[in-house]
Order: sequence, then C-alpha cells, then structure tokens
Amino acid sequence: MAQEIIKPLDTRSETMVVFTVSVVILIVALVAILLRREAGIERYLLPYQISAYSDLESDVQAIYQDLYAAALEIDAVHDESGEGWPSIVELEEEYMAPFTRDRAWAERGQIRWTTFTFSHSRRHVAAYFGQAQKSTSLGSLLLILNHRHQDDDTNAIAAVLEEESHMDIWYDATGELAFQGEYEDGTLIATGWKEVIPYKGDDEISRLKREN
Amino acid sequence: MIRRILYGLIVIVCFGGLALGVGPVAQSKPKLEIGVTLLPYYSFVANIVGDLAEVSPLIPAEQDPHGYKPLPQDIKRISDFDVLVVNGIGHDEFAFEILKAAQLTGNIPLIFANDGVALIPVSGTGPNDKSVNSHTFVSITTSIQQIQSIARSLAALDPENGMQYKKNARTYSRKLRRLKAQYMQKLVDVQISNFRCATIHGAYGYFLHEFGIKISAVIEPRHGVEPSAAQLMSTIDKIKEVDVDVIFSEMKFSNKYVDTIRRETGVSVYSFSHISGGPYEPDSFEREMQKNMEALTQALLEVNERDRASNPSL
Repeated sequence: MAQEIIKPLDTRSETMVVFTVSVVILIVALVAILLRREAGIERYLLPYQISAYSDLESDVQAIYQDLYAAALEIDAVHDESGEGWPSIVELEEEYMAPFTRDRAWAERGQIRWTTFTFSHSRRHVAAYFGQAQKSTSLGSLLLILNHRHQDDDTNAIAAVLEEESHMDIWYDATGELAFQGEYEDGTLIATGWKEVIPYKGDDEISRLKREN
Repeated sequence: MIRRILYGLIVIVCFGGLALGVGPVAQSKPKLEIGVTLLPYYSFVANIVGDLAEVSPLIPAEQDPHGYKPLPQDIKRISDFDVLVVNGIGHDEFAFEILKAAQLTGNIPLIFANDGVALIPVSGTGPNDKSVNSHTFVSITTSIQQIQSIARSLAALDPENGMQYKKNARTYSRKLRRLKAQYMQKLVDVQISNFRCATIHGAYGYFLHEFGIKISAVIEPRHGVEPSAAQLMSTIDKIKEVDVDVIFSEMKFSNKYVDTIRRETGVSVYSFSHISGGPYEPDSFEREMQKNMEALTQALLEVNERDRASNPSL
C-alpha cells in the first residue's frame, strides 16, 4: 500500500510570511506618506529661485511680506493712473511698510530705499531697491514692476493679448550687490540675485482641491 | 374756448408727468447680494461696497467657524447670494459643505480672498512640520491684500460700481494702515528684537510678523475645546521649556486656565482676539484689531520696563 506522508502545518513559516508582508506594507505606506508631504506644499524652483515660504530667515520673510503687499498696491495705483509710480516719500506718507520708518523698520536694518523708473515705448518699469543700513545679515531686496501698456491704436483683441504686467521680488543675502537699473531677468540672475517665489493662496487652494 | 384750453392743459400735464417719470416707474438694477463666511470679511466687504450692495453673513454671529456644522437654514441663506467671499485656505470648510448640500457648487461665483496673498507657515513649527497659516484675516498687512483683491473681483462682477469699490478699498486700506501706525508710534523706544513670546493657537503669525515679533513656540490645545488637566499640564511644561517673556492667549480661552498658566509658569499672559465671533458690523475688524494691537503694545511696554529696571544701562 502506498504511503503518503502529510507534514504538519509549519506555523513558523506562516508567521514569517505574514510578518514580512506586514513590514513591506508598512514601509510602502511610510514612503507614500513622506513622498506626499514633500510634494504637498513646495513647488519646483529653478536654481536661481528661492521660496518665500521656507527659505527666508524670519526678519527677511517679514520684510518680504510687507514688500509683496506694497507691490500689489503700487501696481494698482500705476494701472489706474497710467503713468506714475509712487515715490518713496509718498509711500512713507501712506504708512506703507516696509517703506514707513516705524519701530519694525528701525529694528530690521533701517533699510534705505531708492527708486528707478523707466519708460520705453509702451513699457513702464519701476524698481524699488532696498539695502539694509544697520545689519550685515539682512541683505538687500529689489522689487521690479514691469508693465507693458496697449497703444491707443491697438484693437480690443490685440490689447488683451499685448497688455501684460508682472512683478518680481529679488533677494541678495550678502547685501553687496549694487543695482543701477539693469532690471532684465537675465542680468539679475547673472549678477547673483535670487528671485523669491511666494507660496500664494491660489497655490494652497489648488493643493486642497487635489487632496479632496 | 374754455373747453379747448382745458383739454390742452390736460395734455400738457400728462406729457409733463410722463417726462418726469410720474407714469410707469423706471426699474432700478437690484443690488448685488454678497455673502461672506467670516466676521472680518463682513467688515472688508461692507467698507468696500458701502450702500451700493448688500452684505450678509453665511453663519450666525455667535457661531465659531472652527468645526461649524451646517444647518438647514444655511442652505436657504446661501441660495440668496449672488457671490460668496471665502477664505478658501482652510478656515471656512463649512461653506463648501453648505454649497454641496444646497447643490450649488459651481453655481455661485466664489471670491477667494486669499488668491494672491503670500502665505507663511504657522510660526514656531519645525522645518519638517510647516503647515500653512490660514489666519490671514488677523493682520493689517494681509487683510489689506485681501481687501484689494476682493475689490477687484467685485469690480469685475459689478462694473457699474467698480471704480467706487476700488476707491473705497484704497480709503479703507489707508485707514487701517494709519491705525497700525498709531500703535507703532507707541513702541518707538521699545527694543522689539529681544522679545520672546509663545502663543496659544497658531493664529497670530501674520500679525506678530508685521510688528517685528518672532514667535518662539505655538502651544496649542485643540482649538475651541476646553483642555483636560493633562493637556493643561503639558501646556505648562512646554511654556517652561521655551523660556519666553510673554504668552499670548485668546480672549475665548477660559480665565481659569489662563490664571493657572500664569501662576504655574510665572509668565505674563495677554489675550488676543481671533476675530471669529461677535456682531457683524463694518467696524468689527478695526475694533478687534485695536484690541490686539493694544494687548501687544501693553505686553511690549511691560517687558521693556522690566528689562530697563533689571539693566539700567539699556
């Protein structure tokens, strides 16, 4: 008679398999969580860009916040007037940080601001250059507002396509870079300025929509 | 003859009346009905539109938006709005639930007040734990950004009144900046850079930032929930660890907990307004921000006095 040997169940093998699978699942989940967090808030930055959200030291971030807010108003004023850009004195009189000389200004390097304005054909550019006078760690900031306005002869469709405006804020941590009016991106990058990229409300709104 | 004169007079009166609009009444365009989700947005929009539009809150004044659960009457209320102004970055999720319940998602235009605002993480958190601070409405600087943004959006929706909205926004922004400048003026002899503080709730980063204050730690029992004894002890231990000059609590935080913290840590406690409850009035935001600036100024002056007393050379 043929004999068939039936081996008893090897619980040790089963336990090892379940344990190994559990560990693999945990590792995969952990990696997925970490990857998701890293991809959550920060956007991809080019080598000459830094993040306003995570790369600026606290005082510089605060000055950046003020400058960003001021830039939106300066931009609106220029848009409505069509020609002028507010001077530093006008911005001080409006109590507009970071130009106004209050306690926060006094403790954040007492930044000295100068303006440069350019008008060429339909392009209007303003630069607000700020250098810390009382601190070696704050560096310098540069706000560039660049408007290209439509011609009176431009038809409505072309006007929409042609009119453009944008603003950029640049940062030099060393405080040593001068600014004499060379506002083109290429020149600023070549001389060592870093473009500061904000994490804005619409970025967060998009992220929340993706999560939901 | 007299009859002809009378008929002539009747004709003249009729035509004259029509010319003056005594006849059929000219239809005036209905005002825009603007809904808002949070108390500060009520003030922002009311100051932008004045009498040119109607502003209504989505939830009642006494309700805390944190963890608010929508009610059936909210669904009726939202359907009356032509447009809704939202925070959109985590502070009014209830509004999106109400829209969904009312089956109006995508049907009511939304103005995301924070669309163009540059955000910062909650202060006092580590480099690997940077969560977005959604409290852009507890600050003069970021509120002004939102006011300008809301005005532009309303101008696009209501072009007839657009120029006035933008003009009103600029006037209101100037008023808020002057208010901040008044408090900054009180601090002209205060050394801000050495000041160390902790906050109970991560709402005040934008506000303290604009006054030049760095936050050492955010110690946060669950918002809107009374802390347990264990949570309170943990809070007290953390405060002792961070070694701060002042703790900024919240006005809604129970006095008994504030007193316990003060007694156990020896640290002065001042309270801020979260600006999330109270009557919906055009000047509510200014009033609440004044309370915050007053509390901050008092704290800074107290610490400055104490430092001068212990180090007369300052």
